[in-house]
Amino acid sequence: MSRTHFAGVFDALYEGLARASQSVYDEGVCVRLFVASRVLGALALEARGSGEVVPHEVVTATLEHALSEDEEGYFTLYVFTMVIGPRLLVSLRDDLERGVDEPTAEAWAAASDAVIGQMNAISAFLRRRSAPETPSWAPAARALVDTLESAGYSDHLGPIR
Amino acid sequence: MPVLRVALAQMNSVVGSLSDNVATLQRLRTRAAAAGATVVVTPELALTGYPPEDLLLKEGFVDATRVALAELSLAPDLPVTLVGAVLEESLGLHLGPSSDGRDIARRLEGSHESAHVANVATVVGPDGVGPSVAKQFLPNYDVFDEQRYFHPSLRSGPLLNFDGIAVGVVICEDIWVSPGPAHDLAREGASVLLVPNASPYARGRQREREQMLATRARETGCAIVYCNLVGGQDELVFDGQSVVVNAEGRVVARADAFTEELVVVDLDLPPSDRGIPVSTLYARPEVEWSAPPPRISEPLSDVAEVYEALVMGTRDYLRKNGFREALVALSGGIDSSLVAAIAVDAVGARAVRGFALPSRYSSEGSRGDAYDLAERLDIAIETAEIEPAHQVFAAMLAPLLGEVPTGLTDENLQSRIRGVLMMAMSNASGAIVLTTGNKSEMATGYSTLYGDSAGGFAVIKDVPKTLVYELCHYVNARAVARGDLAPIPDSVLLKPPSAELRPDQRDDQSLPPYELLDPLLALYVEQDWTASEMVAAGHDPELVRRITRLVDRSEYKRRQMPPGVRITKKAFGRDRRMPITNGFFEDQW
Repeated sequence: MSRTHFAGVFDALYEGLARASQSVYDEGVCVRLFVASRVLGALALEARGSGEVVPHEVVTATLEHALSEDEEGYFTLYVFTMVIGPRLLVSLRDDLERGVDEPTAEAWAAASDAVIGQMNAISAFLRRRSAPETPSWAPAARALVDTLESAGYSDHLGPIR
Repeated sequence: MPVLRVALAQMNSVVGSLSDNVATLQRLRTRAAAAGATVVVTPELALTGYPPEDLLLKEGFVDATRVALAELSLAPDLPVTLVGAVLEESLGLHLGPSSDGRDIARRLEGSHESAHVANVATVVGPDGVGPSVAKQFLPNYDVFDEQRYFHPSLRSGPLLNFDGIAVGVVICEDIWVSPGPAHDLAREGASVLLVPNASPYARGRQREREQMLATRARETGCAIVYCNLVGGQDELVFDGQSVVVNAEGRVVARADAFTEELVVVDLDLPPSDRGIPVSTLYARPEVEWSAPPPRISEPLSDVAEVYEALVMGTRDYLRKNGFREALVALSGGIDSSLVAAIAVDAVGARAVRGFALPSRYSSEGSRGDAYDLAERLDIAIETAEIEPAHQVFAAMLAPLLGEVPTGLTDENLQSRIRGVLMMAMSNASGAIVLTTGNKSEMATGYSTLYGDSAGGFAVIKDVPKTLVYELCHYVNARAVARGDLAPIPDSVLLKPPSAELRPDQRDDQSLPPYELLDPLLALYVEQDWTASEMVAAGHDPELVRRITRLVDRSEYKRRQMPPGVRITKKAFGRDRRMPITNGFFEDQW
C-alpha cells in the first residue's frame, strides 16, 4: 500500500519536474530540474515494481501551479525544496516509523537521502547564482500550502491517516 | 540580517505519560527538521503535561522526567528544542524559597541531600541537555496552584545565542509581568523572546493574550514567539492559538484553535554575539530560501470557540482516560441534545449511545424529540420505561414515609432511578456516562444528587442555560451551512425548559427565567459581586436575595458533581472554592 502511494508521489515529481525542465530557458535551472526529475523517476521505478502507478494528483497540481507562477522555473525549484520536499521527507519517515519490511525500509532511507541530496544540490546552485527571491513568491507559496493543507497534507504527503 | 527559523510545536500532551509525550515531541521535531527549523519551541511543561499536580510530589516522577529529557536528546538528526519540563535546583538553577512558606523538595538519589523543583524550559539538542531557564513568577490564582509545587527562579535568563541571534526565554506567567523577565532579557540584548505556555481556554482569553503580547513587544523591542499547549486535561482545555508577534506588536503567525499543529516562521533579527551559544547543527537539507509565510489563522467566533472547547475537552477526557464509548440520557430537552451533539463531534456517532428513560410524566413530544435527535445525529438509542421501578420504590417507601412519596421526594426518586440505570449501563459496557446539567442549574442546585448528576463527566457544567441555546443554534446553523440536516430539532429549541418530573412542570416555576437568572449568576459567581452590590446596581432586591440564597445553599451538591469542561474565567471547582459549611449571609450584617 505505502509503496504504491510513494511510487505515485515520486512519479508525479518526476513528471512535473521533467515538464518544467522542458519549458524553462535558463540552462542552469533546466539542468537542476532535469537532474532532480531523473532522480525522482528512478525512485518511482523502484517503488512501483511491476505494478501500475498513478501520479499523485495533488503533487502534480502543485507543480503545475508553481510553473505557472514563474516561467523561469525558480519557483518550481522553491516549491520542490521548501514545500514538497519537506513533506515527502516527513512521510517517508512516518512510514519507516510505522514499521515496514526491510527492503522497503532500505528503499525509503535511500529515497530520503536522494531527496535531501537534490534539495542541497538545488540550494548550492542557487547560492552560486545568488538567485533572489521574488516578493510575489510569499503569497504564492502560502496559497500552495493552503491548498495542500485543505487536501489533508498540512505537514506530510500521506498516505493520509 | 540573520534569520531564525522557529518551529512552534503546539502539542497535545498527556499529563504523566512521558512516553506518549516523548513520541509526540519527536514526531513534531521530525517535521520541524524537514522544514529546516533552527529551533523548536514547545509549550510549558510539554514533557510532563500540564498541570502535573501532585505527581510532582512523587520521587520517581521527577527522576523519570530527567530520563525522558535524556531520551529526547538521543536524536542527532533533529533540531535543538526548547522543552518544557521540570528540573531540580542541583542542575545549575538558582531558586528562591517557596512562596507559600512550605518547602517541598525531593531527595536526591543516593544521597542525603535534597533539591527543590523548578518549572523550566530546557535546551535539548545534539549536545545533550543544555542550559535551562526557570520560571520566576508562579501563578497561584484561578486554576493555578504552582506555588504548591515549584520554587521560583531568582533571576531572569540566561540569555541564549542561536546562530548569532540573542534569544531570551520567558515562561508563561513571566511574560505577563511588566516590568519583568522580558524587560530584563531585552536589556541584556535579546531580540526575540521564546515563550512556552500552558494557558487554559476561557472566553475572551485570546484577545487578552494578544493585547498583552503586542504591548510587551513594543515595550521590549523584541519579537515574541508564544507557543501554547493544546488539548483537554480534566476540567481544563488548552486552546493553542499560538502566535508570533513582531517587534512592532503585529501578529505575523497564528496557529489554529484546538488543533495540534507545527507552525514554522522565519524571523529576520539583528546579529548579536551575546548569550550562551547553543549548537544548532543537525542533519537537515541546507536550503537557504525563506520558509513559506505562516498562516495567520482567523480567530473563531465566541460561540464557535466555546463549542470547540467543549468538544476537545470531552474528546480528550474520554481518550486520555481510556473510554471508548459515551452514554447520554436523552430526555428530549435542550441540555441533553447539546451534550449528545458535542459527544458525536468529540468521539463520533458510533461511539455514542442514547437512552430514553421516560416516566409517567414524560410528554409524548419529549419522547419523540429524543428519537428525532438520535436519528439526526445517527446515534443508537434505546428506551427503558422507568415506571415499573418507580412503582416498586414508591411501594417500598410508603410504609417508611407513612404515605406514598410526593413532591420533591417523588420527583428526585425518578431522577435517581435514571441515574441507577445509566450507571448500570456504564458498569456493563465500560462506557462513560455524560451528565447533562448546565451552569445555571449547578449554580442554583436545580439538579438531583445521585440522579441526573450521576455520571463521569459533566460536559456543559460551566455553560449557562442562555449560552446552551446559543450553542444549539450554532450547531444547527453550522450543519445547515454544510448542507446537512440540523441535528437539534426545532421543537427542542422552542418548548419551555422542563424536568418533567411532575405534571405540567416547567423550570420557571422553580427558578427565575433564565434571561434574568444568568446575568445575575454571572455577577455573583463569576465576578464575585456581593448581593448588596447587585442591588446597588439596580437589580431587584428580592430576586437577588432569592438567587444568592439558592447559590449559597447548594454548595454541598456542587462538590459532588463530576468534572466538566471549564469555559469561563470562574468555573465551579478549581476556580470557585466556597466553603460548604458557610454561615455568612450578607443580609444579616
